[in-house]
Amino acid sequence: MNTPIAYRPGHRISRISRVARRLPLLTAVLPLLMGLAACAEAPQPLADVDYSGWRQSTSAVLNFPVPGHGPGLRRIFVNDAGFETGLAEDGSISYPTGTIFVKEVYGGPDPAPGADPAMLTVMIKAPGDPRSRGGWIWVVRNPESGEETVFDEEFCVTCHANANEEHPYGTGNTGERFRDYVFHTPALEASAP
Amino acid sequence: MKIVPITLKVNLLILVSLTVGIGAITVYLGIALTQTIEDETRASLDQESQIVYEAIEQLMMPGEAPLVVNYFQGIGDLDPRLRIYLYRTDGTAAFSDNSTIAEVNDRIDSRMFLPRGQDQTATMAPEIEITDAFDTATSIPARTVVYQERQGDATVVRYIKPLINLPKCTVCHGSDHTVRGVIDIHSDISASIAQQRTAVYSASGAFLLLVAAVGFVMSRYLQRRFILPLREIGATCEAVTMGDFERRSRITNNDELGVLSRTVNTMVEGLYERFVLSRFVSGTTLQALGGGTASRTENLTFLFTDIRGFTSFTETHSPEEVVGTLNALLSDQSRTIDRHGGDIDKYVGDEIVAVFSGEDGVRRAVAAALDIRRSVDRDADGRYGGLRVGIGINRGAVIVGEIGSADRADFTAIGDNVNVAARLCSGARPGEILVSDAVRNELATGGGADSDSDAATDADRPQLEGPYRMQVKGKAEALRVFRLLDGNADGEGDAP
Repeated sequence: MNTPIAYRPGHRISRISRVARRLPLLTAVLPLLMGLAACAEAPQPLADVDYSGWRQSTSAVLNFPVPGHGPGLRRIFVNDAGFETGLAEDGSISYPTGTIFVKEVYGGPDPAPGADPAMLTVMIKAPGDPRSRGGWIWVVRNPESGEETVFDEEFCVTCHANANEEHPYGTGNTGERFRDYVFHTPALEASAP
Repeated sequence: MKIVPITLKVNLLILVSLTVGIGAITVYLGIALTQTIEDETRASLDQESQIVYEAIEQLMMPGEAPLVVNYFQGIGDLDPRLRIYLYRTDGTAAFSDNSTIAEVNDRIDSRMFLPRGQDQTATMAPEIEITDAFDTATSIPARTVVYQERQGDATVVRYIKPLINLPKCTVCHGSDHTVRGVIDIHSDISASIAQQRTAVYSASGAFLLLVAAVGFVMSRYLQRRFILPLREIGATCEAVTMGDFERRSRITNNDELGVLSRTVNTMVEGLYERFVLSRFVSGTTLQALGGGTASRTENLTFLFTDIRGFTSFTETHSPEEVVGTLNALLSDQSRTIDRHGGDIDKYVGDEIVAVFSGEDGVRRAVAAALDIRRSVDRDADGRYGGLRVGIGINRGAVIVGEIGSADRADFTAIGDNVNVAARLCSGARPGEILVSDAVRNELATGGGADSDSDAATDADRPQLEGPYRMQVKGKAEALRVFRLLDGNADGEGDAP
């Protein structure tokens, strides 16, 4: 009989041993956690940011389909910390902690003027955060409900890792420079002739 | 009350403590060991999946993706416990037909990739069941799914990893989909499970042996250090209870049990001294030593016995015979008095002064007197040398208190009623028992009988003869006295 277990890094295989292993700890910690939960405030949203004053990372019209984001129009905004990060001498780039990219994803490639995005996908540079992958926290936010999902698995980072090697988007990174998992780099666009 | 041996309790305590203590450690170690094995297995699978993934990427980029199947088969040949398959998102085996090659050729507008022959497109992977795990790996966001299942006799870990349509793949495969398929890894972990089982069994066996060994050692130690000393002390107390004052506890531990042992020995010595003292000191004196010595007035019954003709007996017999006969008479009388609940107040030469307290003191004193006379007169063993006794009994209020000097004193009774009893004894002829009017009244009214004797008939009561008038020293008027005849006042056949 198949007993699916959703993958998490560090997850164990045997459910029985996993439960048995944690039982004493849970027994001891559970009342404490319940007490803390009663006192603790609700978790703060990660991507509830006002990006209305931010600049777009690229002037390209991103209305072509890409894996992971579908065929809808995408507009990418970046805060000043990220926008003003320049290229290193070797052409690579590393964004400082606190950099935030917000990608608006619309329902179709040609949305009506004033239409709201269907989804926000957000990259937050926070290398020390346990939820981060490749130094970024990957968040999907429903702009209407405010619901957020952190993708702390391989899905987002696997694709975006291609930004650090040759790829078909933006500049294509034919030099295979480290681009910090970002395909459309403002510094590169600013330096383009 | 049901006695639960302390040995059982201690052993039970040891067993429970060891089972819980060592058991918890063993379980923890067993779990830690299992975790290590599982973590190693998991890490190995992670590594293998990454290698496979990298191989697919590297082979796909130059357009040699079909070689992946051969690569998977090669891995399976190297290690039969590891099988790797590649599936499309619809569940069909990758490269089982030329549809992907045709699609890619259309997209790049060339015939770069030649269709494969029938023998090359043979299905290289078994048909896969579309399960929730498969759906999870192929839907957005695609997740790797790991689970364990039974395949025949084998325990297999399934590792279903999504194959993402990476940006660099879109040139050939297009951008209209995110997941291209799944890598399905089957890792037979039966050997690992067996290893875990062996480890758990070994740990359990070691645990049992350890519990048994430690339990045995601790039990022996406690037995030696605590149980045996307690038994030794208990045996000493039991011996004292049985009248053996010679036994002493031999425990010399330098702990509380040693202290207890010494205390018990001291107590036994004290009891022995008291026991020996009781042969020389009256019961009332002993009672006074243990309680208060305050003077008070009590109603008591006094019984005096005196050997008649003893002076002439001493003149015609050797000292050894005199002392032997005297001791035999005094001892036997004393035992009879004791048997009837009387208390030897003192010996005065060949005379005994006994006291009977309580409401039925008269009845018991009369019974004792009758038994003494019967026994002495019969002299069944010929130990009394033909000597006989005279007995006097009186009852009345006397003063009880500590009589004597500060250095030596008796706790005894004094008063006119004591003197009357002595006078009655003096006046009694050999084999004669004289009682006072007060005694007679007690017997007549039944006041001297206990509750069980209240129903006694006149026939059961001692027969008295009298009254006679008896002039005694210190009394202006003659006393009314009665002679006690043989009767059924006491149990027959109770030889002193």
